[in-house]
Amino acid sequence: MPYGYSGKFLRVNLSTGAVKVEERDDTYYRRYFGGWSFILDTLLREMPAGADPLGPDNILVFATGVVSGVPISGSARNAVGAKSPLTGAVGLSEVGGFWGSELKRAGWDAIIFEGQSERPVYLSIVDEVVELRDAGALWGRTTKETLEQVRQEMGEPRARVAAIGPGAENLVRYACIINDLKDAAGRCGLGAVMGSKRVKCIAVRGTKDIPVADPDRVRELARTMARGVAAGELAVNMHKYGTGVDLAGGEVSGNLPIRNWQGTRFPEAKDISAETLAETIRARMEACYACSVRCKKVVALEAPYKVDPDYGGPEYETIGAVGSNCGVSDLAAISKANELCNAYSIDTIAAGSAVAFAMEAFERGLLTAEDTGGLELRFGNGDAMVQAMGLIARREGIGGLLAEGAALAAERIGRGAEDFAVHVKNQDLPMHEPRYKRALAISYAVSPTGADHCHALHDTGYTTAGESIRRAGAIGIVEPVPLESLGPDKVRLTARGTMQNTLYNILVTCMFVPWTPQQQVDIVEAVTGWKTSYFDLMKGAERAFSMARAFNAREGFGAKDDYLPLRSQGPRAEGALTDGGIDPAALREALDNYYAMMGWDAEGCPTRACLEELDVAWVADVLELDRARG
Amino acid sequence: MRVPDGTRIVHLVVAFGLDPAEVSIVSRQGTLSSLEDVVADGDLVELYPPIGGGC
Repeated sequence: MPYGYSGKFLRVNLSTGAVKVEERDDTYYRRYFGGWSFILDTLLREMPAGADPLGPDNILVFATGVVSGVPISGSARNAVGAKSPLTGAVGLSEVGGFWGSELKRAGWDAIIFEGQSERPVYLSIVDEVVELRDAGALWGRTTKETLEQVRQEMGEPRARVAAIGPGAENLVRYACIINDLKDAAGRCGLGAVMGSKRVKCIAVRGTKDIPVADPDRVRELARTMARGVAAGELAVNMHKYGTGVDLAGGEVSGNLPIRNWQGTRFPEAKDISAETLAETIRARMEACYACSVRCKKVVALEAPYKVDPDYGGPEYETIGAVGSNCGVSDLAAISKANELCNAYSIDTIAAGSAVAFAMEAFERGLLTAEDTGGLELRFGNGDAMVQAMGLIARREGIGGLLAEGAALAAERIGRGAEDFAVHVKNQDLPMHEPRYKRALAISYAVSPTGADHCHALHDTGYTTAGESIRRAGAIGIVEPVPLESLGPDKVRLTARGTMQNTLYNILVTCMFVPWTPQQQVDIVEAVTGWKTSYFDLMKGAERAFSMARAFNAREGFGAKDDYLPLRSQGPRAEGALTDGGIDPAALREALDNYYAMMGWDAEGCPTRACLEELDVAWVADVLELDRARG
Repeated sequence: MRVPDGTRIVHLVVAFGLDPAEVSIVSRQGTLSSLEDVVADGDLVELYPPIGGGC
């Protein structure tokens, strides 16, 4: 019997209603670990190239990893993947909470949805009992109404629910999937894929213990993290405030996006920071499953907006996207927008970015009050920003245009609007300035999912001989790298750091829990009983990342699709970074270097030798077969 | 605090027992500054660690 995983996947054919159990052997787990790799293996083997992301040929996969669900900090997460309706490339998103661990405790490692249901359905899982049920009465409901009704219908008040709301049903291109109202598989529009398949939610109750190879060692590791956090030695700010601290530092350095990335000054940054939130509208902090870090803030508010604490509170990305990048300095409005996005299941980053883009278009006269139905979409208008969220989710009025995302909205508006739509592969930039963190310039361009902030490397810690560089010794980075560099030193650091972050997405664990590389190895060994190493784990990450690039190559993506938006190429308006932006030629050279270092060809597609080295030669066969078919 | 003329921000960092290598962003009077800058009377100096990523 394996340890840490059951070896069982669920396959749900939504066109026929058939639910099957599939088994995967130990070699599969040993090679892939979980998360991204399970998803990419499925998509590359089963999905035809060129499939319509919102059609029956797309495949939606929910995947855990070999350590998911084990009672240890950081193990709560699950990954979701499909072809993205936002980017047309691979869509991958990871999410915390309790749902992923519950799925493991029900005895399932992954769920594959194929086909398309004619009627709304939901998947009910209570340990071995799996049923596809009618969700006609749930369609159109918010995530909270859905969660409450489904728990009642199942008679399982403790069921964990991954659900979509009206935004996903209406196929908002950046709709997301919400775990238990608070945690979002936010990016890439995977909620729209779920909506197109008419799957309202997956409700899971799992009551089993996950067998581990060395329970004493697992307990010891869990206690080490718990004690470190309790003693104020580990994850100090994350434990106290969660994400979004030091926003004034972000503002003064230029990292914080302001007014659609124009980069004017924003002295109100302090007013929307996690520290201010803690002193004003925060009800409490909460944890994901089995986690000592407890970094999730919960907001409760009665006025000027009523904010339901069941929907959690805004993370840094949300604060930036619907706050500073819209010029909004009102934490109440930010928290209300967060609540609405979670209720409707739309990505706060993309929704905020679409509104910020629209505000600039409005102020430039490219959108008029007639276009917006009288909504004064000006920077700083928090109430208009909040109202826009509902319009987007319902695709009502101007919301119909903004539901397509800033990139496609800009194309439709034309007249130069494309110049200030700030995205890579139609994925809006997350809330970190690539003109400041130059590793992000590379990371945003090269990411297979478009501009991403999770597997991307944030390089500001690596510029001095401090703690980050000491830790980077594990990946052979032994000297500081200047912040402004785009040279081979930065490319090497970025590629290796990105693989470290990708490792979180195959195990599937959380980057906010400060396990050392050696502890990550210890956890995998203690849970599975395997003999492994950081080298082996990093190769697993590289395998997943290169498979993601191979997926994109099949879909026609190449070097031309790895770029930075025009706005990132010029200077910020005021304060820091006013002396220029990212030089496209220097970035191109860095990207070519990146491809070569990773074993990819001039188009950024993994070579056969690269894929052979990563022990997935079959991916090279898939690519060659596609090329032969033309 | 009182400091001699010509005091640089890095001197303040060391005086507070902090490691200058862990200071990523220096703000003086609300604008971007550096550890090598000399402080003036009444300055408000703020220090920040590196800004990470994640959600």
